[in-house]
Amino acid sequence: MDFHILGQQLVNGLALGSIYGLIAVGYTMVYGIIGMINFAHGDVYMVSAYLTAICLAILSYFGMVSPFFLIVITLIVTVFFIALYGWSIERIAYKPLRNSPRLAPLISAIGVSLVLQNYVQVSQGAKTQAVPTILPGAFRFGTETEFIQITYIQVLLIIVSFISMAVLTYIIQKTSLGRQCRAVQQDAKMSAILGINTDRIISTVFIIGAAMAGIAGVLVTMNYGSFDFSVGFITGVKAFTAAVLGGIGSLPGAMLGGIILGMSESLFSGFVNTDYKDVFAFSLLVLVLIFRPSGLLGKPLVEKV
Amino acid sequence: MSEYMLEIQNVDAFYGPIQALRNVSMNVTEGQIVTLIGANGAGKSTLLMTIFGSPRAAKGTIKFQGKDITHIPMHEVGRLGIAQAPEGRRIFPSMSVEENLLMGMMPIGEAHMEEDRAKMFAMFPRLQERRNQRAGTLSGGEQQMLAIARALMSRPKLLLLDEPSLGLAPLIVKQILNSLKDIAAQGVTIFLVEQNANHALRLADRGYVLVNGEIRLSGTGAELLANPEVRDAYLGGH
Repeated sequence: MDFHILGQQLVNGLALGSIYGLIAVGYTMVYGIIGMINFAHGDVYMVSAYLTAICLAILSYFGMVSPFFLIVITLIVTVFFIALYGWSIERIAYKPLRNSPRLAPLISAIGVSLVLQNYVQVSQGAKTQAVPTILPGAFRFGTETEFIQITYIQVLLIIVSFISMAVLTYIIQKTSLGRQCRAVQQDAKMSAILGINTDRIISTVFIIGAAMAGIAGVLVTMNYGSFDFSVGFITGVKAFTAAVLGGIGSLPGAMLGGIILGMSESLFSGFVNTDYKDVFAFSLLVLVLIFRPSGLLGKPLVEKV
Repeated sequence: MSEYMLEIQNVDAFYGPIQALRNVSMNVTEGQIVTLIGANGAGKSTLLMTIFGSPRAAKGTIKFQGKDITHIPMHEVGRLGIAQAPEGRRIFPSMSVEENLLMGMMPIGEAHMEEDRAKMFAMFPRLQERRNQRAGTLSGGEQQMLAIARALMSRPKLLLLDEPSLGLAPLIVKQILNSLKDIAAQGVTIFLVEQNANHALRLADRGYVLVNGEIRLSGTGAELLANPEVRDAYLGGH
């Protein structure tokens, strides 16, 4: 067994997994609060990749070269605008359907997904886009021929993901806003009786979900450099898988599911076959769901009486 | 300004095609304990929820301290000084006892947290013992205490209680109903919905009897206790 390959794939898996985790947060929180799978979430992530490219282009045009400021400003601007997307999508496509049968907002979400893909295609073109490498270089561990390489941008990606998760966990567990989110998730009507504006909390959850996807979008774009209008689909499906794997509705579950999915995909590619990594990832999901239908950290669904 | 704290006038309410309340009129006077008794499905809980706009009154008006609240959004009712310990308690099961109490403070902010929490723990010592426990693991009686304490955390002027005695052991029922007297003594007006007519009418200054969505009888607690119709229907006819 080649330990440097194992190490390398674990590092890659961790990076990939934290991205899945960040995006899975949006699926799991929205599901938790309104019981809906937001199929447009992957495309929100895709839009954030374009926002990143646009922001980087504008900053470079004004002659900014410092990687630190490029990354920080791009993160802030992209997260702000993608949060605005998240908020508007909820307002326009889901809020009017709040009291409809459960299928209606689901169809509406697919509609939003199609609209976003086509809107990006029309406004930005259908060809693959690329951004220049902002932070070149890598750490290397090991010998000349057998080494583990971690690029600076991977390090950044893992650190920023973990900080974002930690901040979000703190907000949800310890602040008044987080308590309100959890309250609405557990019993929306009672929350309203207690004076919580449930519509506002639902908007907030969409903003949080989009912001996390936005962070993922910035990091991935800076890491891989290229993307097109369809990247939202497969990444979205993977992140959704991560959310279900961890137990949909559970925040730690989304993070755990993301890491497990990323790791297993990357280990499978490293040691078995790259072409079948998705097959392996989804088979893992099937297996987990057979033995734990509510996911790894999800609570079993109790029928309300 | 009207003389009543809560005035319900000619209210109709529906669940889809089914009419749950028919032309209900009743009043709650400030500082009193008022009770509404009736059988299962008479519309008691519906009436309490209609005050919060779910279901909305299809006809008639609901006034709180002279202000028409018939059509205001659900989350604004609580901010006016009305709190509810609803049917089925509806505590937040995955939150700790303390977090549930904090949730009760939403309408007024968390400035009085320490003081009011101490008050609740003095009234219900069991909650103090279990302050960091998940509320879903509490017993039925403890959950009911928590639901009442949570409602009181918003320092309400009017407290709505929906069957606080339901499903509890007689000793706990007594304890909870006794605490209602203390709460009323602190100046909180109480509107108590009960199936346990005997207890409720003894406690209440005024009572109403709801039958099939209509107010059938009203009077002081003692009058209703003595009323033969009430005795036959709700007190076992002895």
